[in-house]
Amino acid sequence: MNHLEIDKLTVVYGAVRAIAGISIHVGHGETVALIGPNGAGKTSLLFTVAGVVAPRSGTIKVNGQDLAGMSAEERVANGISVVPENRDVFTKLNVHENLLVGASLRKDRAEILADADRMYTLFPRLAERRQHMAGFLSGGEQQMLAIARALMAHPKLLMLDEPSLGLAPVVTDKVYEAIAELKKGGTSILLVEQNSERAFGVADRAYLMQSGRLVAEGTPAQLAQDGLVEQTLFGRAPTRAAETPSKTEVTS
Amino acid sequence: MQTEQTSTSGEILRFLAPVAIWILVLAVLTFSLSSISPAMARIVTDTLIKVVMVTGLYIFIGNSGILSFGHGAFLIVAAYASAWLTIPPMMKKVILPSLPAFLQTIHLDPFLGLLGGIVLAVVLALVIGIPLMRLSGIAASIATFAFFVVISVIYNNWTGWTKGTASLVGLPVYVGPNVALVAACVALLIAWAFQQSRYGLLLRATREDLVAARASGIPAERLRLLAFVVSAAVAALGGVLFGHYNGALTTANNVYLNLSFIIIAMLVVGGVRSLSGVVVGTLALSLVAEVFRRLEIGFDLFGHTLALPGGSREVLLGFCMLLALILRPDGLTRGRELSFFGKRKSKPLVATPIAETAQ
Amino acid sequence: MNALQMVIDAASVGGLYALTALGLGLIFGVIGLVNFAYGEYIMVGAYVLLLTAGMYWPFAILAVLIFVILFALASDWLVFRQVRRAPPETLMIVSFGLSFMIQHFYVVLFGSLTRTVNFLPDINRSIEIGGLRVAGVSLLQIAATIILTAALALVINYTKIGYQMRAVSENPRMARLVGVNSNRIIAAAFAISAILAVTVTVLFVAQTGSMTPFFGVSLTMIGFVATVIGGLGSLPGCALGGFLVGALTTLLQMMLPSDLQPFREAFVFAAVIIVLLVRPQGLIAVRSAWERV
Repeated sequence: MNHLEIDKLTVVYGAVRAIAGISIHVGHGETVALIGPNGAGKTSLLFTVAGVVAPRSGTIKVNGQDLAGMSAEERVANGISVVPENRDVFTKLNVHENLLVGASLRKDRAEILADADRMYTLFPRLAERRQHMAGFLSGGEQQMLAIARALMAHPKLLMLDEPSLGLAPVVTDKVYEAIAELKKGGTSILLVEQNSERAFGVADRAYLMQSGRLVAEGTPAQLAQDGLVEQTLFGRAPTRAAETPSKTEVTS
Repeated sequence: MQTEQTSTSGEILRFLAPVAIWILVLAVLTFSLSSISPAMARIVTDTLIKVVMVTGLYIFIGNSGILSFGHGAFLIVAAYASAWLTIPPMMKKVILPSLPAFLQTIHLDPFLGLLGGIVLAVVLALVIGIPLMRLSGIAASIATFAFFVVISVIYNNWTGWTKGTASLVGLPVYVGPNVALVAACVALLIAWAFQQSRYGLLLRATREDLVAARASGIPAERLRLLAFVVSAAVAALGGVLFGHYNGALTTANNVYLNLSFIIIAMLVVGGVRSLSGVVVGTLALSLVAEVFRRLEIGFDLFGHTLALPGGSREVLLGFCMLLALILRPDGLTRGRELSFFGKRKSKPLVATPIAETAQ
Repeated sequence: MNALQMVIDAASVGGLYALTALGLGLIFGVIGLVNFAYGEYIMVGAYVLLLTAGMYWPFAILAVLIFVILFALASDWLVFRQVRRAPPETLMIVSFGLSFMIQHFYVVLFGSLTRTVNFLPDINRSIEIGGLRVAGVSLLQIAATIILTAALALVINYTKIGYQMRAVSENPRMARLVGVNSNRIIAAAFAISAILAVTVTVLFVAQTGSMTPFFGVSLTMIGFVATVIGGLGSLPGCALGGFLVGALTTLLQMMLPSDLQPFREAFVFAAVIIVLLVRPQGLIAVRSAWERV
């Protein structure tokens, strides 16, 4: 049985079909990447699984249990956490409070504080900025805070929406280090990205998405082969030097 | 781009369609209902006057997105101005002895009095609007409310000029169903013209996203001021009619405060974003209010008089307002206009993956 | 008149307005609702005091507390919860409609004439402090305001409910996504604002001894105005706004010539307009109130 099983999901916003009949799955402990350009419907997919967007049709099952009708809060209780695209850290709360609010559903105070300390070890920059309002953190620090906050709920399935977006490469390294750590710990991860290179570095499998539909599925190695990734992201076939030598015309 | 072959008359019809329908509806209702009895005629007139007031409010709120609680001020100012101008001087000498000489002696015919009221309201709108239009959101709403309180307190206590909570009588009564109907149609046409004009469109852009609109060079404050002034003029029309329909004016019982809120409620229940909302909301709430009023008076059934206890009609009216907004948070019209020529139902757009189209 | 006397009067009136503003500001802060029905929480509490006249006063106050808290929770559960995602103008009219309904329901129940009750008449007695005669209830008002404002600040800033409330007020969707039970947090906000309302009720009825179904309206209006000039979204701003409006009202009462006294409210609200023109975001500006461009 898969950890996450999405079957023929359709999501509609008014007159626009954001997701048109998608079926994907994430196995236990697997890291699955979802690659696609802007507007492909990746964010909608995550929000639908998280429970803040209602699907038009299709089913979402976690450990065999249908999530239909389950509120977002209940899904968090069931081990599903999401780190949204904009980080969405609470700027009116300081770093420590952001971590604590991530553990809202838990009741074990001592363990929560111990977990917070673990986050500070994992992300030393957060420890330095413990009492600072989250709005004053840099983009990379906010990203780390958002991930740490999601981790405070002890998720079994973590969904990340474009964690590298807007971050400097050095900072992205840190973020993906953390993701790799999580993977080692056995958390199932659904990773949405435009940066396919990074995502392929940690993913066991990947899906390519475009305009609400699945274009391809496979291991990173398989997908990287035919230039399908470039075509999905950029909408064109890559130039292959062997077949079409570039000609430059000189006009006089 | 396709060029459609449409005749000019066809274009005009299409342009006017939504507002023309409402005018037709109002006309039919007026002519059919007001001949039933004088009581019905009074209800029709009262409702039509409310349509004028709500339309005035809509011209500003619907287009700018800013809730104004201040339009009651224009009702007050215009009504009393028209009163000063049209009450016979002999009566004024008795009931308003402290009026300045030129107001004491002036005696204009009702139409000029109406214009006078509107002009004063417009001037006031300009004076208060120039500073106020810089504000947005809640600050703007509170400022308009404060403006209303200032005017209301002044007129309430300046008894030498207004008689305050006592009744200022002597206004010529010239407003019946027909006059009110004409006024309502004029108001609706003005509102429609404004909202379809370039100014209306640009102003609505500021309603959606002020920052983006400003960045596109839209002069938000000036457009808001224009809408504010036009809306003040139309509201003023309603205020003047209100006075000349009752034949008397008073500030007792917070009448203008209540009126302010009722007209906002009518607009929001109808749908704040469309002119259709004005008519739908006003008709709906007026009808409901009238039904409950009748129920409170009581009716005879098998020799017994069944009546609701006093005060319950407001409870039921409030309940209906709540129910309408819970079921339709965007208003009964959902902010949409009537489309006369049938809505083209568009199927949900299905995105086509680029991979399929590329070879 | 003695300057200190004036300060105490201003502070006591301001305190009442500040408490009202806090109750309003709390609800607005958490769910963006302009709760016109807030004055009704104050009003219905007064009628409970009417019905429990003669009861030993701590029990009467307890009865008011229980009733008003349940009343506020019911208004959230039955009405406001149904319109959580509605546009702001709809929320305003919904709360106005509710306020209208409740007022007139009480007219049906109790009539629209003034009713009087003798509640804690002793606290109106003047106390002699350092040569000043001060009404006991004024001191009580000031004390209550200080204590409750401090308590509210502590709750908001140092408790779990506090940071959950701040989270919900900032980003309700994200709050749900981390597992915060938004509905429960919002209910807590209503309960707290009900407690603030009860304080106003008790002080008001003790001081004036009278009530009508409509007396909550003007308090709501002033409270809301105070919230906006103080700075929406900032609880200290609400309290500050309340005190300022109270101070201004008292000041005008002292200083306006008698023929201008009836126009006092006009002056106060004219001042409100000026404050808003000078500082539209309120005196204590909250960072998130402005869009970052």
